[in-house]
Amino acid sequence: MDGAVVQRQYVDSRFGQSHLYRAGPVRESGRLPLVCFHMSPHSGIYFQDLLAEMGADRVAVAIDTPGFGNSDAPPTRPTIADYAASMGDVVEALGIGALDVLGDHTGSKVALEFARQRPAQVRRVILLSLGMWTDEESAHGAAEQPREIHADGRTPVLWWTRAVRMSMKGRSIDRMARNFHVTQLHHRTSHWGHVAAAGYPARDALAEVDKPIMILNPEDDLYRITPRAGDYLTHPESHIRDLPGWGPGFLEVKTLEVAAMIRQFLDGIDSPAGARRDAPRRS
Amino acid sequence: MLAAVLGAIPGKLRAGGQSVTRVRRAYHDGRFGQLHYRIAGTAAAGGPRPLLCLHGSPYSGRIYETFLAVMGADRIALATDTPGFGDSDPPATVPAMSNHAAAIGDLLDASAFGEIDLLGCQAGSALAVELALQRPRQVRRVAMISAPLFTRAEIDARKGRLGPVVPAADGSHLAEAWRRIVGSAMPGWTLDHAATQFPDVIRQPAISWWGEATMLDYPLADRLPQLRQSILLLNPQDEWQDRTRRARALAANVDFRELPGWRLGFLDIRADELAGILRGFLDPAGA
Repeated sequence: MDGAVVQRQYVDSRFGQSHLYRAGPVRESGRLPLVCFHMSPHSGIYFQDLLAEMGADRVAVAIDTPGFGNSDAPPTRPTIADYAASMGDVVEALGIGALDVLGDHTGSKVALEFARQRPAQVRRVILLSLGMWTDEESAHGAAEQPREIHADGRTPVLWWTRAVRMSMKGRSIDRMARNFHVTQLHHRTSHWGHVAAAGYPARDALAEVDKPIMILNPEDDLYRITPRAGDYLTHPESHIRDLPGWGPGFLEVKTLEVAAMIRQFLDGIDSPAGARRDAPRRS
Repeated sequence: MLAAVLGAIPGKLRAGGQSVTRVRRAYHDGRFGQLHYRIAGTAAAGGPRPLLCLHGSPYSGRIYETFLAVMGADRIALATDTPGFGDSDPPATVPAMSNHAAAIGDLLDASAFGEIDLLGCQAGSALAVELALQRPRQVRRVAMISAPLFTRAEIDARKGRLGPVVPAADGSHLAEAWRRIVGSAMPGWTLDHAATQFPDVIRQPAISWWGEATMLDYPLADRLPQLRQSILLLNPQDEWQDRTRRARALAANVDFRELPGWRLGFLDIRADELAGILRGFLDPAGA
């Protein structure tokens, strides 16, 4: 399947301009659009490979969260509900009706909240890791401060070396360097994403969102945290899929495999068998 | 198209006593893909001509963001990301300056602007010269901040060092880029300012050298004397100072001004003063 061309555009939303990446098939496919929300601090550019792949048979969109990438920041520190409401503005501006949503880390909470705010519009939900922190664990993220900028340039170097160290096998340094710059944008307010995520009651949202939810659990910083979501999944089709050996960068390294899992979940199209870790459990 | 982009710009804001306008961003579909630009201000019948600003490399139109907000108070002010920089798609291969000028000309054609003025900075100055030569009827006045007029020996030496930035696992390539920025800054331009521009300097490491390659191949010494428009040549006290002085004698229609003490950062911390200089040149009394 040939990859689709990824285009960028701006639309107006409640916090100013929102920037997005968009790909789609030449002909109408009949499949629902897939809208993606990124981790923080990052931008929709992180989904570029996935959009090119998914855009072959549906409209695939990744929106820069307000205050990240090229999207204007809110005037004050927002909540996940604010982020999700802004994403709703964007989806409306694009003329999208029913849709599937996908989120990654902070973006997982935006996706969950988006589904909570728009139950009639969202059909299925995909979450790439989910910070199911205890209140005690949340305190660290909630207290995050703006990054310090030093004259010797140690801040971006620290961010880079940490990203290199944590990346999964197969992610090249050259590939990382293509998108690293977005982690350095909006240095005064880029901690707002983590603060908002730390304050979001994901347990309540999971219990409330009665949609099929697929949670992918790569071996990243949330590997042991994400499975706690299993206790709160309500829909019989909801499940958590463990991805041992996968880590940060898997959307770049394992693009086709992820796309196959997504299609299997969204469209019922068979893909290479993967082990379902947990049956859904009711709270 | 630009009317749609500008339509949602609210009225003038006040910042530090200076009238400024909100800066918006947009894309134009051009010959190399998507061309990204920032734009501020409103067009008024009989008002000043639009001002198009062209950045040096490897930066982007973001470097003009503060300045656009000030200049947009009485005219349309816009800054493109040169193809391959900022959020503009790159050409397939190292472009000639004429290719860059043509790509930006695509945006001008789509904008339905009439006459315009240009402001270039470093490599953007060479691009402004080429764009003014391609569009002699549309471009009325050309302001240049530094002129990239190199000697043959300088060109050879710089070309010998050209090539992709090779990302290192230890981040040394980032530290080097950061040191270059901070080491070129003028007093008053803070680390906060530097951190705002830094992402544009480190992006596209495989092709960020194209900007300098294009600039070094451009025959500025031949092209600048062909300009018939009035030229303002501003000379900050930076590494471009001697080259810019050499360029002064190349054309008869040059208003030359030294800017002692100005270095990287004046577009942010001297935006008001620069706007005053530009308005004096672009909108002369009685013109």
